[in-house]
Amino acid sequence: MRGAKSAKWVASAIVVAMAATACGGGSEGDDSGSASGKVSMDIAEPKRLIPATTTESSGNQVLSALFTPLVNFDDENKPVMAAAESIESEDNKTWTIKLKDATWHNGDPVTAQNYVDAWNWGAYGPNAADGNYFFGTFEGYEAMNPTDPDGEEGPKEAPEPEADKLSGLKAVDDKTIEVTLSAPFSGFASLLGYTVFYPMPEVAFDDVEAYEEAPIGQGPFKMDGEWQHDQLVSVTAYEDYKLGDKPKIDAIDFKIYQDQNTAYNDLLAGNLDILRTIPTEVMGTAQSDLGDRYKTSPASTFQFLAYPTYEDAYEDVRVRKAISMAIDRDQIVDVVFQGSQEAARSFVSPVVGGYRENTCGEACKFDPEAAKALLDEAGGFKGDKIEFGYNADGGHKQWVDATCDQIRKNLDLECVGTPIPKFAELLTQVENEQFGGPFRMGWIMDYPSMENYLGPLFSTGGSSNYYGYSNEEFDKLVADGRAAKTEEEAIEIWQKAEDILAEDMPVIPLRFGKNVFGHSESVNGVEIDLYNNVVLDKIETA
Amino acid sequence: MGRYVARRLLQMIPVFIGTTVIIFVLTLAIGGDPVQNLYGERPVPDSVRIALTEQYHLDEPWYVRYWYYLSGLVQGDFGNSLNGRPILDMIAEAWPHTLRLAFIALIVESIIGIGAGLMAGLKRGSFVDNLVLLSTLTVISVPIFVIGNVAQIFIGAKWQLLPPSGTLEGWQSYLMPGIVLGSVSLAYIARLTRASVSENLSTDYVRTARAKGLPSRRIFSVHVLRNSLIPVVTYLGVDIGTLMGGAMVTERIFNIPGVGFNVFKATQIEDGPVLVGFVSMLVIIYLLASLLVDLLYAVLDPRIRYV
Repeated sequence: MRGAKSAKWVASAIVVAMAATACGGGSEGDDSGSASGKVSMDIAEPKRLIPATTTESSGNQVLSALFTPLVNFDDENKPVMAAAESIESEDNKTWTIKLKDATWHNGDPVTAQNYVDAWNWGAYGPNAADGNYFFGTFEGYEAMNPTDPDGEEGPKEAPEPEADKLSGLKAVDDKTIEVTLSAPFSGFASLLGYTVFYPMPEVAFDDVEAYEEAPIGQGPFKMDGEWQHDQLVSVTAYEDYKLGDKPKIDAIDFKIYQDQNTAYNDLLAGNLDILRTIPTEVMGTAQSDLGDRYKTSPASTFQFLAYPTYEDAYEDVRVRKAISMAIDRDQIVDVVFQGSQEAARSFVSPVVGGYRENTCGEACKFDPEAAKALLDEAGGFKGDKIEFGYNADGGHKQWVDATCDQIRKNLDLECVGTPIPKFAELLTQVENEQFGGPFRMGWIMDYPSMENYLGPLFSTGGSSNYYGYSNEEFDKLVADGRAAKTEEEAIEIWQKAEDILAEDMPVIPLRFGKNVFGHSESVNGVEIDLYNNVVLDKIETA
Repeated sequence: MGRYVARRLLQMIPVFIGTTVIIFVLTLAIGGDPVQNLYGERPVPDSVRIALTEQYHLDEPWYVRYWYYLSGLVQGDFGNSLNGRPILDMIAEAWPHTLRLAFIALIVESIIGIGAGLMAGLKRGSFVDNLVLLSTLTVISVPIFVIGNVAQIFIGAKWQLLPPSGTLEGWQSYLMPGIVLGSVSLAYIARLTRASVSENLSTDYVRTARAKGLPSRRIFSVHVLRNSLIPVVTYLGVDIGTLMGGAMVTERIFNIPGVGFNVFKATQIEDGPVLVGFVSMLVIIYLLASLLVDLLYAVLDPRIRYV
């Protein structure tokens, strides 16, 4: 785990000069070889460290050490109680959450009011919390988030929110929270596993900016010093932790990297214990470099190509299916991604309950002859060429070009990959109906439920349904599932909805993500959960 | 001298305004949507968009925003990054890293660079001379990210002589990136010194000094060395400015959260306020460094006087 076997001899005249000028004064490194029970892990600079405004992976990872969620997930990705004693509802609309006894890292007891305050803060529009939309299912959300009357382009600004508290949220007593949703939602308990639903102590609200430099939580680890921006976040085990098993390690250093390749070199040098994502550039050698310390696990990401509904050339479902059938997903996964992703033949990820293999059926099976025949049956391709849109900054060129090559070869169609500098620009072009071809999209789950794929991506007006897919029957099934009595019932209904997608083929499913990670010889038991976080209570030092 | 310095300082004002305006306009000209960039591929909640647009005046024309910026700056307020961090804090945190790196790079390049240049220049055509020429040529022609990555993989990861990255192990952490950063300038300085020394050795005043029997030690230190250093100091001065600007590539490879690292990151996510803040700071430093160099000329060459 320690740093370089600091060969002091490297230090020549320069070292003397350095010492003389006290330039290296801030020597923070401890040279104590095997600091027992301390583990280091890579993250990127977190955007924020306030629960309600943390929705990216690095912030999530740090907060997962400092907080315990209301629910965790078992091996089948079903919610199990963690900080909550019970989460119950008669009608899926009014939910009662009972809390276990717990204390904040500063010794104060955790109360229901702490949750209520934190959630109200997150839901209040002007706080601009990234996780704001998670509270959209709560009653009273609209009053806190008025929409801009003339759209974002217009000169008028959005009015001040009428309320600064969710009307559907109250603390009944110290240990009981009552939540009223604006519509029944059977998967509500799963939603509560996410970072955004962590509580915040009273002191946080005095000065939120100051709080986030050293967040006080109720989880298994507490902050050790402050967040050192772009360098380090250190946490140590919290001695009075009551909400679950105590972790097997004493402390974690979250080292902040900007470049994954640097982190990989640090892992090889023994300077880093856990690397959460092995960069694609070294994927070829990583397996031999790391041996059995090279690990993979399924991730929630879903990569697909979306057909623009406003473009006539893709109006015929047979054309949409033919293009999909002409793509050899396995070859691209093996050659371009070196096995670091998985071919997708369904519309929801394998990490959620209710996932079925190959729901896309024939349309995702690589079959060039059938694809050609289907395209001919549809009267050929109506446009002059197929254009695949992708953002140039995301490392997508290789697979897009490879996909185009396959289509050119298998369908005899002209196909080009069109890079657009940033994803935001691609979205703007799609919104203005300027981009005339299928474009790449990626989706990372917010909460483990089929609905989190079907709702935002495919329902009419869904938050990420940029391509404008709309099917009334589908919308109805998704809504019915939300209102279903039990999770099982809901899944059954949502699976029917997924079958509609297979018929309509609004997008081409391409790949599901995999977490490809590695660790040093000094740790064991490294696992990554479905939120792409390293599971902290299973790590052991070797 | 005093008047000269005052005049130079006054000249900095229009230069500063000019450069910051250019940067301001350029960051806006990138176009794109900084709010969306913050969110990557996720949809931006309306409330966030509204709040950020208002806070950063994203819907105002550039000259209004520039005015907000300048008036803040005069009061010592660099504004906030799009993530909500005070930019002054970011600068204050980034600076020490870049300073340490620049310090090591400067020491390495001036001691080794000038040393090698002198040896080569004094004994032209010798083995040492050829060695210096060849090795500097190699360093100049290999891009710095190759030098950086190779050093990191071998010295850091394989042989584990120095920490491969980061800043958490005190001065040791800065040694390798500092040397890598200084290596290219080192090569230029060696060649510059060599050329300058050999030129001065054949000047009239050196011949005269020899003829009147001055000890060669004195000829070298007073007549040759001092005159040879003028171009080198010019180069070093410019280099200080560059080094203070941080080394985007080196800082990124070695994960040093200095100035270059921050500028690079801000460029990537199109964080205009951070970019403008850091670059304004760089402009000031560059201007001051060049003033310092001009003043140093007078010290090295008594013929140069400023009025």
